[in-house]
Amino acid sequence: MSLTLGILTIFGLAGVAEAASHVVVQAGQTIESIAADEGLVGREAEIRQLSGLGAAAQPSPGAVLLLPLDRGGQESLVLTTYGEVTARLGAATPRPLVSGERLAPGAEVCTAAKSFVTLRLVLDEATRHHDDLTLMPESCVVVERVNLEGAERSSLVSLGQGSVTVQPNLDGHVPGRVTVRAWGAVTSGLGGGHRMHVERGALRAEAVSQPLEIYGGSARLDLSAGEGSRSRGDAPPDPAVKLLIGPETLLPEDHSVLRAPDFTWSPVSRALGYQLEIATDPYFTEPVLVMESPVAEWLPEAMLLPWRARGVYWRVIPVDRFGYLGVPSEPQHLRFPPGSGGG
Amino acid sequence: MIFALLTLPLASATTWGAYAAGGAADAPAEDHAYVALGGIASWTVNPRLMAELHTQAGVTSVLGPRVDARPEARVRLTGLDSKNAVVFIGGYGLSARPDLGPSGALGFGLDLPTGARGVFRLDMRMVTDGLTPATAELSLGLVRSPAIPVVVAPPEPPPETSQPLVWLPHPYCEWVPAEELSRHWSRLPPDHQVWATAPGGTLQLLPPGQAELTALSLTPRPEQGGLVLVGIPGDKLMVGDVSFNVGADGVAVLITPEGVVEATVVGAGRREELLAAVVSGHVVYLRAGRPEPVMVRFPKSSASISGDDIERLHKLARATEGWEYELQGSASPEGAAEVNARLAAERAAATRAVLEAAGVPPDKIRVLSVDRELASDAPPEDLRSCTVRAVPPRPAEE
Repeated sequence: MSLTLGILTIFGLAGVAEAASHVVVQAGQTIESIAADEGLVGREAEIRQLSGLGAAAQPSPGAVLLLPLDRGGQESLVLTTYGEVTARLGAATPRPLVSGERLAPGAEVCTAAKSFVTLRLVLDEATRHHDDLTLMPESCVVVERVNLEGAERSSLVSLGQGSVTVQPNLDGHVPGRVTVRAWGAVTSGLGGGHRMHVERGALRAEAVSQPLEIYGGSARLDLSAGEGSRSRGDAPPDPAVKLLIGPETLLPEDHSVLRAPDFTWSPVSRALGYQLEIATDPYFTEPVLVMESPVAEWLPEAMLLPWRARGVYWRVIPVDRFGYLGVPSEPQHLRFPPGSGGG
Repeated sequence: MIFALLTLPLASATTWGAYAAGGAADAPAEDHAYVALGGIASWTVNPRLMAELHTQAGVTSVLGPRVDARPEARVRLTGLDSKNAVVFIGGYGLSARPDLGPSGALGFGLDLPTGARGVFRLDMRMVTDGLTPATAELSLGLVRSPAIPVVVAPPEPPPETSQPLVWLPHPYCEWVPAEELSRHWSRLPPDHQVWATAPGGTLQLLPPGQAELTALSLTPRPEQGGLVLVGIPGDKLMVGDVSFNVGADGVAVLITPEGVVEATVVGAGRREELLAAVVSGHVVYLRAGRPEPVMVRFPKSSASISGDDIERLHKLARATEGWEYELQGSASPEGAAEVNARLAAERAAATRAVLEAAGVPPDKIRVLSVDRELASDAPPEDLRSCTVRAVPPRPAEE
C-alpha cells in the first residue's frame, strides 16, 4: 500500500480530464486501448508504471489498472463508527477512528470484534450522491483510490480480511462504481447492493440488489441481483448460485416497543442458519449488532444496544449450506421502552 | 340586590367550596329576587383557566324554591405575577324555579388570596333566563386550594434544553426557564419548594424560599444507561433493596448510573442474582432464567423427606412471590400398584406439608392425581419422587 501511495504522490499531479481512478481489464483490452478509451493517449507508460507492469507488458483480463489522476488522491469520510475502529497509513501505528474523520488514500481501516464502521468512499458535494462501504466486525480494508470526475464516482478497495457491504445507492442517484479485490480476485459493480467476504484463499461475493462482475483466472462472471459466487483469483469464478430470500420476521413486530429480546422469524427452506442484524438506521449503514443463529429465533440472555431516540432496526439474512448470505428480510423498526434512556 | 357568599373549605384534590347567594332584578318580576346556598367544585385547567361546577338551592321572593346547576369557566384576566386577580366568568346550565329551564351567567369576579391556600371571591354576574338577561347577582366567598405535595419529584425535563429550568407545580405543571421563577413565585404555595435542572445537571431541589435563581450550580449528571430486566409475569425484580415496577409481561425498565448493577429476580420458586454492566448511552437487556421443576427424591417405600430437600423446599417457598405450585408424587414400579399409588400420594402430601410449613398458602398448592402411566422406563430413584412445578397464579374467579 505504501508503494501505491508513493506512486500516487509522484504521478498524481499531471492529468487528463474525464479519467476514472481505475479500470478492470476486460478480455481483448490492451494498455493502449484502455488509454484511448480513458482519454489518456500518450500516458501508457504511466499506466504501466502505476500498475506495476513492465514496458510493453499487457495486463490479463480481470487485472485492475490504476490510471493517472488529475488531482492528488481524494479523501474518504468516516460516516459512522461503532465499537473499536482503527486506521493507519503505511507503517504508522493504528489510531482510533471516529465519525467525521477524513481518510487519505491508502489508509487501512480495521474493525475489532463487535465493531463496525461505514466509510463514505466518494461524495459528490453538488448532488449529495455517494458510495458507502460498511465493514463488519474483524474486517480490514485499504481504501486505495476514490475519485469523482464530473458526476462519475469510482472507488477501489482492497479487502484484507472479514466482510464488507457496498451500500445500495439511493433511488435516483447516479450509480457509483466500487471495485473490491482480495486474493487476486476482483469484484466490480455499479450502484452498490453487494457484499464481499474474504475466505481462506477466496473472495466470496453476493450480488444482493444489483448486478456484480466477479473476476478470477482471467475470466469474468456476471452475477445478477440475487446471485453469488466465489473467486480464488487464479481460477475462473465458481458458477453463480441463487441466494436465499430473507424470511418473514415474526416478533418483535414492526414499530413495537422492544421490551424483551425475543427475535423470531419464519424458517427459510434450505437455510443452514441465519444472521440477525440490528442497526440504528433503516439502511443499516450504522450496524450495532450481528448475531448468528442456527434456528429461526434468537433469544439472548443479555443484549447491549446503543440508545437512540428513534429506536433501532432489525433484519434477518438466511445463510445457505455453501456459506452464502442471502437477501435480507425487510427491516423492522423497534422503539426502546419509555424510561430506558433519554440522553 | 346584594348577595352574600360563604364558602367552606373542603380538603380534596379538587378545589371544593360552598356558598350562600341571593339575587334580584329591577323588573317587576317578583320571582327574580332570590337567596340561595350553593357549592363549587373547581378544577384548574391551566394557570389562567378554571373549570367549575356551581350548584345552588334557595328560595325566591315569593317563597318558591329555586335550584340552579351551572358549569362555569373562570378566566384570569390580570397577569400571573400579580397576587390578586380579576376574572371573567361565563357559564350555562339549568335552573328550576320550579319549572326547569336553561339559565346562563356572564360576569366578572375578584380573587383575593388569603392565608396559605384560601382565596376570597367577590363575583358579579348577569344571570339569564334562557338567553334573556334576567337578574344581577353579586357574591362573596372563600375557596381553598387542595393541599399540594411539595416535594414530589417532577417528570423528566425536556431533553433538548439549553438553559436552566425550574418545575412549576400545580396549577402550572410545566418546566419554565429559571429566569421566570420570580414572576410565578407569588402564585405558588408558600411551603412550595422548587425543582431545578440545567443541561448536563441532575435534578435538584432548591432551598425553601429561594424565589430567584441568579447562578444555578448543579451537580453534573452521572453517566447512566438503561437496564431492561426481563423476567416472567409475576416476578419481583429488585436492584439492591429497591423493588421496581414490573409490567404485566414481567419486564422492568430503569435508568441507572454507569457500572456494574446487581439485580435480583424473585418468583416462581427461584431467586436469581443477575449482574449487568450498564454502559452510558446504552440499553442493557438482561433475561432471568425460567423456573425449573424441583424433584424431591424419597427412599424406597418411604414418604419421608430428607433434611436437604426440606431446605430446598423452604428456599423454594421463600421465593414464591404469588406463584402457585403443582405437586405430582410418583413411585417406582416394584410392588403392588395400589401400594405404589398410595405411596405416591403420601409423597405429594409430605411435600405439601413442608411447603405449607414454610409459608406457602394452602390454596396456592395443588396436588395432581397420581399418574399410573408415568414413564416406567425412568430410573427407579427418579420415580421415587415428588415433582414440584411452579405455575403462574390463576386469574381470580368472578
